[in-house]
Amino acid sequence: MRSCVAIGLVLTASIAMLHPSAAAEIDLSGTGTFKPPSEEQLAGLPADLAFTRTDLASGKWSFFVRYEDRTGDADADPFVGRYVGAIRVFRVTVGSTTVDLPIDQAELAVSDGGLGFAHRESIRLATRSVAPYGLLRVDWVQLNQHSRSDDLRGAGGALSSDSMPTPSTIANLATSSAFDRYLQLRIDRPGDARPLLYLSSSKVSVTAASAAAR
Amino acid sequence: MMRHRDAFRWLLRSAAVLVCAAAVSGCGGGGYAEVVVVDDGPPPVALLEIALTRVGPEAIAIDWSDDPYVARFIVRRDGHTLANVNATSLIDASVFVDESYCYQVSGYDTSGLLVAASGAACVTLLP
Repeated sequence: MRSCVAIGLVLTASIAMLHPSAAAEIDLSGTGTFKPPSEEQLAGLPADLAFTRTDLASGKWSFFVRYEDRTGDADADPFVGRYVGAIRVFRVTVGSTTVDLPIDQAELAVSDGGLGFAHRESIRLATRSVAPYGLLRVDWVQLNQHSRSDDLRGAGGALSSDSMPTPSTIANLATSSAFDRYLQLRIDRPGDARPLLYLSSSKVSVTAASAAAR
Repeated sequence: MMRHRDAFRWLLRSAAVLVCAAAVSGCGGGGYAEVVVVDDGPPPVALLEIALTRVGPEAIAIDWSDDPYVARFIVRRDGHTLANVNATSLIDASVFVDESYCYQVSGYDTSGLLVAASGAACVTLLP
Protein backbone atom coordinates (compact mmCIF):
# COMPACT_ATOMS: atom_id res chain seq x y z
CA MET A 1 0.00 0.00 0.00
CA ARG A 2 2.80 2.38 0.98
CA SER A 3 4.66 1.68 -2.25
CA CYS A 4 1.51 2.46 -4.25
CA VAL A 5 1.20 5.80 -2.50
CA ALA A 6 4.88 6.52 -3.12
CA ILE A 7 4.56 5.67 -6.82
CA GLY A 8 1.51 7.85 -7.03
CA LEU A 9 3.34 10.76 -5.48
CA VAL A 10 6.30 10.32 -7.84
CA LEU A 11 3.98 10.23 -10.85
CA THR A 12 2.15 13.32 -9.67
CA ALA A 13 5.44 15.14 -9.14
CA SER A 14 6.68 14.09 -12.59
CA ILE A 15 3.54 15.38 -14.26
CA ALA A 16 3.86 18.63 -12.33
CA MET A 17 7.46 18.98 -13.54
CA LEU A 18 6.41 18.43 -17.13
CA HIS A 19 3.85 21.20 -16.74
CA PRO A 20 5.55 23.64 -14.35
CA SER A 21 2.64 26.05 -14.27
CA ALA A 22 -0.39 26.77 -16.33
CA ALA A 23 -0.80 30.15 -17.95
CA ALA A 24 -2.90 32.50 -15.94
CA GLU A 25 -4.87 35.57 -16.87
CA ILE A 26 -4.27 38.58 -14.70
CA ASP A 27 -6.55 41.57 -14.29
CA LEU A 28 -4.94 44.92 -13.79
CA SER A 29 -7.22 47.72 -12.61
CA GLY A 30 -6.24 51.31 -12.17
CA THR A 31 -8.26 54.31 -11.09
CA GLY A 32 -7.36 57.89 -10.45
CA THR A 33 -7.64 61.53 -11.33
CA PHE A 34 -6.10 63.85 -13.85
CA LYS A 35 -5.94 67.58 -14.30
CA PRO A 36 -8.79 68.43 -16.68
CA PRO A 37 -8.02 70.43 -19.82
CA SER A 38 -8.79 74.13 -19.61
CA GLU A 39 -12.13 75.51 -20.83
CA GLU A 40 -10.30 76.90 -23.85
CA GLN A 41 -8.76 73.51 -24.66
CA LEU A 42 -12.09 71.74 -24.23
CA ALA A 43 -13.81 74.22 -26.52
CA GLY A 44 -11.26 73.50 -29.23
CA LEU A 45 -11.85 69.74 -29.29
CA PRO A 46 -13.89 68.18 -32.09
CA ALA A 47 -17.39 66.95 -31.29
CA ASP A 48 -16.75 63.42 -32.58
CA LEU A 49 -14.11 62.63 -29.95
CA ALA A 50 -14.53 59.35 -28.08
CA PHE A 51 -14.98 61.26 -24.84
CA THR A 52 -17.35 64.13 -24.20
CA ARG A 53 -16.24 67.45 -22.81
CA THR A 54 -18.08 66.55 -19.61
CA ASP A 55 -16.01 63.35 -19.40
CA LEU A 56 -12.80 65.28 -19.86
CA ALA A 57 -13.83 68.00 -17.42
CA SER A 58 -14.56 65.37 -14.75
CA GLY A 59 -10.88 64.74 -14.13
CA LYS A 60 -11.62 61.09 -13.34
CA TRP A 61 -10.39 58.08 -15.23
CA SER A 62 -9.60 54.42 -14.92
CA PHE A 63 -8.20 51.57 -16.96
CA PHE A 64 -8.53 47.81 -17.07
CA VAL A 65 -6.10 45.38 -18.66
CA ARG A 66 -6.38 41.61 -18.77
CA TYR A 67 -3.16 39.89 -19.79
CA GLU A 68 -1.84 36.36 -20.01
CA ASP A 69 1.31 35.89 -17.95
CA ARG A 70 3.07 33.10 -19.89
CA THR A 71 3.41 34.80 -23.25
CA GLY A 72 6.89 34.47 -24.72
CA ASP A 73 9.32 37.32 -25.26
CA ALA A 74 9.23 38.45 -28.90
CA ASP A 75 12.28 40.71 -28.60
CA ALA A 76 15.77 39.23 -29.09
CA ASP A 77 17.37 42.00 -27.02
CA PRO A 78 18.50 40.35 -23.75
CA PHE A 79 17.42 43.42 -21.81
CA VAL A 80 14.09 44.06 -23.52
CA GLY A 81 11.02 41.87 -23.21
CA ARG A 82 8.20 42.46 -25.66
CA TYR A 83 5.15 40.38 -24.92
CA VAL A 84 3.06 40.75 -28.02
CA GLY A 85 -0.36 39.15 -27.77
CA ALA A 86 -0.25 38.95 -23.98
CA ILE A 87 -2.91 41.61 -23.56
CA ARG A 88 -6.43 40.23 -23.94
CA VAL A 89 -8.44 43.28 -22.87
CA PHE A 90 -7.46 46.94 -22.74
CA ARG A 91 -10.18 49.29 -21.62
CA VAL A 92 -10.08 52.94 -20.59
CA THR A 93 -12.78 55.00 -18.93
CA VAL A 94 -12.77 58.78 -18.83
CA GLY A 95 -15.59 60.32 -16.84
CA SER A 96 -18.53 58.07 -17.65
CA THR A 97 -17.42 56.90 -21.09
CA THR A 98 -15.65 53.56 -21.51
CA VAL A 99 -13.72 52.67 -24.64
CA ASP A 100 -12.54 49.15 -25.44
CA LEU A 101 -9.26 49.50 -27.25
CA PRO A 102 -8.07 47.05 -29.93
CA ILE A 103 -5.79 44.39 -28.50
CA ASP A 104 -4.08 43.56 -31.79
CA GLN A 105 -2.16 46.80 -31.32
CA ALA A 106 -1.52 46.25 -27.62
CA GLU A 107 1.73 45.12 -26.05
CA LEU A 108 3.39 44.67 -22.70
CA ALA A 109 7.00 45.79 -22.89
CA VAL A 110 9.67 45.40 -20.24
CA SER A 111 13.07 47.06 -20.29
CA ASP A 112 15.68 45.95 -17.80
CA GLY A 113 18.20 48.65 -18.63
CA GLY A 114 17.73 48.03 -22.34
CA LEU A 115 17.02 50.36 -25.26
CA GLY A 116 20.39 52.06 -24.80
CA PHE A 117 19.57 53.28 -21.28
CA ALA A 118 21.33 51.02 -18.78
CA HIS A 119 20.28 53.34 -15.93
CA ARG A 120 16.57 52.93 -16.71
CA GLU A 121 14.14 50.08 -16.35
CA SER A 122 10.51 50.23 -17.26
CA ILE A 123 7.24 48.41 -17.71
CA ARG A 124 4.85 49.72 -20.30
CA LEU A 125 1.40 48.53 -21.24
CA ALA A 126 0.35 50.27 -24.39
CA THR A 127 -2.25 50.20 -27.08
CA ARG A 128 -3.45 52.39 -29.88
CA SER A 129 -6.60 52.82 -31.89
CA VAL A 130 -7.20 54.53 -35.20
CA ALA A 131 -10.40 56.55 -35.07
CA PRO A 132 -11.99 59.15 -37.34
CA TYR A 133 -10.79 61.90 -35.01
CA GLY A 134 -7.19 60.66 -34.95
CA LEU A 135 -4.85 58.16 -33.38
CA LEU A 136 -5.75 57.36 -29.77
CA ARG A 137 -2.96 55.99 -27.60
CA VAL A 138 -3.24 54.83 -24.00
CA ASP A 139 -0.25 53.75 -21.91
CA TRP A 140 0.32 52.64 -18.35
CA VAL A 141 3.96 53.48 -17.82
CA GLN A 142 6.30 52.86 -14.90
CA LEU A 143 9.90 53.90 -15.10
CA ASN A 144 12.63 53.43 -12.54
CA GLN A 145 15.62 55.60 -13.25
CA HIS A 146 18.87 56.20 -11.42
CA SER A 147 21.83 58.41 -12.25
CA ARG A 148 23.55 57.73 -15.56
CA SER A 149 26.49 56.07 -13.86
CA ASP A 150 24.27 53.32 -12.42
CA ASP A 151 23.74 50.09 -14.31
CA LEU A 152 20.32 48.67 -13.50
CA ARG A 153 20.64 45.65 -15.75
CA GLY A 154 20.32 42.30 -14.04
CA ALA A 155 20.31 42.31 -10.26
CA GLY A 156 21.22 45.99 -10.10
CA GLY A 157 17.70 47.35 -10.19
CA ALA A 158 14.10 46.66 -9.31
CA LEU A 159 13.76 44.31 -12.31
CA SER A 160 16.19 41.41 -12.36
CA SER A 161 15.63 40.57 -16.04
CA ASP A 162 13.43 41.33 -19.03
CA SER A 163 11.14 38.41 -18.25
CA MET A 164 7.45 38.93 -17.54
CA PRO A 165 7.29 40.68 -14.13
CA THR A 166 5.02 39.46 -11.38
CA PRO A 167 1.48 40.90 -11.38
CA SER A 168 2.22 43.01 -8.32
CA THR A 169 5.28 44.49 -10.04
CA ILE A 170 3.30 45.26 -13.18
CA ALA A 171 0.81 47.03 -10.94
CA ASN A 172 3.34 48.81 -8.77
CA LEU A 173 6.96 48.94 -9.87
CA ALA A 174 9.20 50.58 -7.28
CA THR A 175 10.12 53.76 -9.12
CA SER A 176 12.65 56.31 -7.89
CA SER A 177 10.21 59.14 -8.63
CA ALA A 178 6.47 59.09 -8.01
CA PHE A 179 6.03 61.08 -11.22
CA ASP A 180 7.62 58.37 -13.35
CA ARG A 181 4.58 56.17 -12.86
CA TYR A 182 1.66 57.43 -14.88
CA LEU A 183 -1.35 56.76 -17.05
CA GLN A 184 -1.26 58.59 -20.34
CA LEU A 185 -3.85 59.21 -23.03
CA ARG A 186 -2.94 60.94 -26.23
CA ILE A 187 -4.85 61.74 -29.40
CA ASP A 188 -2.96 62.83 -32.50
CA ARG A 189 -4.37 64.00 -35.77
CA PRO A 190 -2.49 62.99 -38.92
CA GLY A 191 -0.14 65.74 -40.00
CA ASP A 192 -0.34 67.73 -36.78
CA ALA A 193 2.88 68.04 -34.81
CA ARG A 194 1.05 68.84 -31.59
CA PRO A 195 -1.39 66.32 -30.13
CA LEU A 196 -5.06 67.17 -30.18
CA LEU A 197 -5.37 65.97 -26.59
CA TYR A 198 -2.77 64.93 -24.06
CA LEU A 199 -3.71 63.68 -20.60
CA SER A 200 -1.32 62.27 -18.08
CA SER A 201 -1.45 61.62 -14.37
CA SER A 202 0.60 59.96 -11.67
CA LYS A 203 -2.37 60.00 -9.32
CA VAL A 204 -3.43 56.48 -10.20
CA SER A 205 -3.94 53.55 -7.87
CA VAL A 206 -3.37 50.17 -9.53
CA THR A 207 -4.09 46.65 -8.33
CA ALA A 208 -3.56 43.22 -9.87
CA ALA A 209 -5.54 40.05 -9.31
CA SER A 210 -6.01 36.70 -10.94
CA ALA A 211 -8.83 36.82 -13.46
CA ALA A 212 -9.94 33.39 -12.26
CA ALA A 213 -10.50 34.78 -8.78
CA ARG A 214 -13.11 37.23 -10.03
CA MET B 1 -1.12 76.36 12.81
CA MET B 2 2.06 74.45 13.62
CA ARG B 3 4.02 76.92 11.60
CA HIS B 4 2.69 79.90 13.56
CA ARG B 5 3.66 78.21 16.79
CA ASP B 6 7.17 77.51 15.50
CA ALA B 7 7.56 81.09 14.34
CA PHE B 8 6.34 82.35 17.71
CA ARG B 9 8.84 80.12 19.53
CA TRP B 10 11.63 81.36 17.31
CA LEU B 11 10.72 84.99 18.01
CA LEU B 12 10.41 84.28 21.72
CA ARG B 13 13.85 82.68 21.88
CA SER B 14 15.39 85.47 19.83
CA ALA B 15 13.85 88.02 22.21
CA ALA B 16 15.11 86.04 25.21
CA VAL B 17 18.65 86.07 23.83
CA LEU B 18 18.41 89.84 23.31
CA VAL B 19 17.11 90.40 26.86
CA CYS B 20 19.92 88.26 28.31
CA ALA B 21 22.53 90.11 26.29
CA ALA B 22 21.08 93.47 27.35
CA ALA B 23 21.02 92.44 30.99
CA VAL B 24 24.64 91.33 30.92
CA SER B 25 25.83 94.48 29.20
CA GLY B 26 23.77 96.51 31.66
CA CYS B 27 25.86 95.15 34.53
CA GLY B 28 28.52 97.61 33.56
CA GLY B 29 32.24 97.07 33.36
CA GLY B 30 34.28 95.33 35.91
CA GLY B 31 33.55 91.65 35.84
CA TYR B 32 33.43 89.23 32.97
CA ALA B 33 30.08 87.90 31.93
CA GLU B 34 29.69 84.77 29.90
CA VAL B 35 26.90 85.05 27.39
CA VAL B 36 25.68 81.80 25.94
CA VAL B 37 23.79 82.40 22.77
CA VAL B 38 21.73 79.50 21.61
CA ASP B 39 21.48 79.53 17.84
CA ASP B 40 17.98 78.40 17.10
CA GLY B 41 18.59 78.49 13.34
CA PRO B 42 16.68 80.37 10.73
CA PRO B 43 12.93 80.87 10.91
CA PRO B 44 10.92 77.77 10.02
CA VAL B 45 10.36 77.11 6.37
CA ALA B 46 6.96 75.78 5.37
CA LEU B 47 6.78 72.73 3.14
CA LEU B 48 5.31 73.21 -0.32
CA GLU B 49 3.68 70.28 -2.05
CA ILE B 50 4.85 69.89 -5.63
CA ALA B 51 3.36 67.87 -8.49
CA LEU B 52 4.65 67.27 -11.99
CA THR B 53 2.45 66.35 -14.92
CA ARG B 54 3.45 65.79 -18.48
CA VAL B 55 1.04 67.91 -20.49
CA GLY B 56 2.49 67.36 -23.92
CA PRO B 57 5.17 65.45 -25.78
CA GLU B 58 7.72 68.02 -24.64
CA ALA B 59 5.97 69.95 -21.89
CA ILE B 60 5.77 69.50 -18.13
CA ALA B 61 3.32 71.26 -15.82
CA ILE B 62 4.67 72.09 -12.38
CA ASP B 63 2.02 72.74 -9.73
CA TRP B 64 2.72 73.60 -6.13
CA SER B 65 0.79 74.57 -3.03
CA ASP B 66 0.40 78.18 -1.96
CA ASP B 67 1.63 79.76 1.24
CA PRO B 68 0.16 82.95 2.77
CA TYR B 69 3.59 84.38 3.63
CA VAL B 70 5.07 83.96 0.16
CA ALA B 71 5.30 86.95 -2.16
CA ARG B 72 7.36 85.32 -4.93
CA PHE B 73 8.15 81.79 -5.92
CA ILE B 74 11.35 80.74 -7.62
CA VAL B 75 11.17 77.54 -9.65
CA ARG B 76 14.48 75.79 -10.20
CA ARG B 77 15.14 73.06 -12.70
CA ASP B 78 18.20 70.92 -12.03
CA GLY B 79 19.48 73.65 -9.71
CA HIS B 80 19.11 76.50 -12.17
CA THR B 81 16.45 79.20 -11.90
CA LEU B 82 13.70 78.56 -14.40
CA ALA B 83 11.17 81.20 -13.37
CA ASN B 84 10.37 83.85 -10.75
CA VAL B 85 6.59 84.00 -10.44
CA ASN B 86 3.74 84.81 -8.08
CA ALA B 87 1.54 82.01 -9.42
CA THR B 88 1.39 78.40 -8.21
CA SER B 89 1.78 76.66 -11.52
CA LEU B 90 4.03 76.77 -14.51
CA ILE B 91 4.41 74.91 -17.78
CA ASP B 92 7.94 74.14 -18.80
CA ALA B 93 7.96 73.68 -22.55
CA SER B 94 11.74 73.70 -22.81
CA VAL B 95 12.19 69.99 -22.17
CA PHE B 96 13.19 67.13 -24.42
CA VAL B 97 12.16 63.53 -24.79
CA ASP B 98 14.47 60.91 -23.25
CA GLU B 99 15.71 63.39 -20.67
CA SER B 100 15.00 63.70 -16.94
CA TYR B 101 14.32 66.92 -15.11
CA CYS B 102 14.20 67.72 -11.40
CA TYR B 103 12.22 70.70 -10.14
CA GLN B 104 12.23 72.50 -6.81
CA VAL B 105 10.17 75.50 -5.73
CA SER B 106 11.20 78.07 -3.12
CA GLY B 107 8.91 80.76 -1.70
CA TYR B 108 10.18 84.15 -0.47
CA ASP B 109 8.36 86.81 1.54
CA THR B 110 8.31 90.54 0.73
CA SER B 111 11.66 90.96 2.52
CA GLY B 112 13.26 88.29 0.37
CA LEU B 113 13.46 85.74 3.16
CA LEU B 114 12.96 82.08 2.31
CA VAL B 115 9.73 81.08 4.03
CA ALA B 116 8.58 78.02 2.07
CA ALA B 117 10.17 75.33 -0.07
CA SER B 118 9.33 72.07 -1.78
CA GLY B 119 11.42 68.98 -2.04
CA ALA B 120 12.92 68.04 -5.39
CA ALA B 121 10.55 66.29 -7.77
CA CYS B 122 11.85 64.55 -10.85
CA VAL B 123 10.25 63.30 -14.04
CA THR B 124 11.48 61.52 -17.14
CA LEU B 125 10.05 62.04 -20.60
CA LEU B 126 9.69 58.82 -22.52
CA PRO B 127 9.03 58.90 -26.28
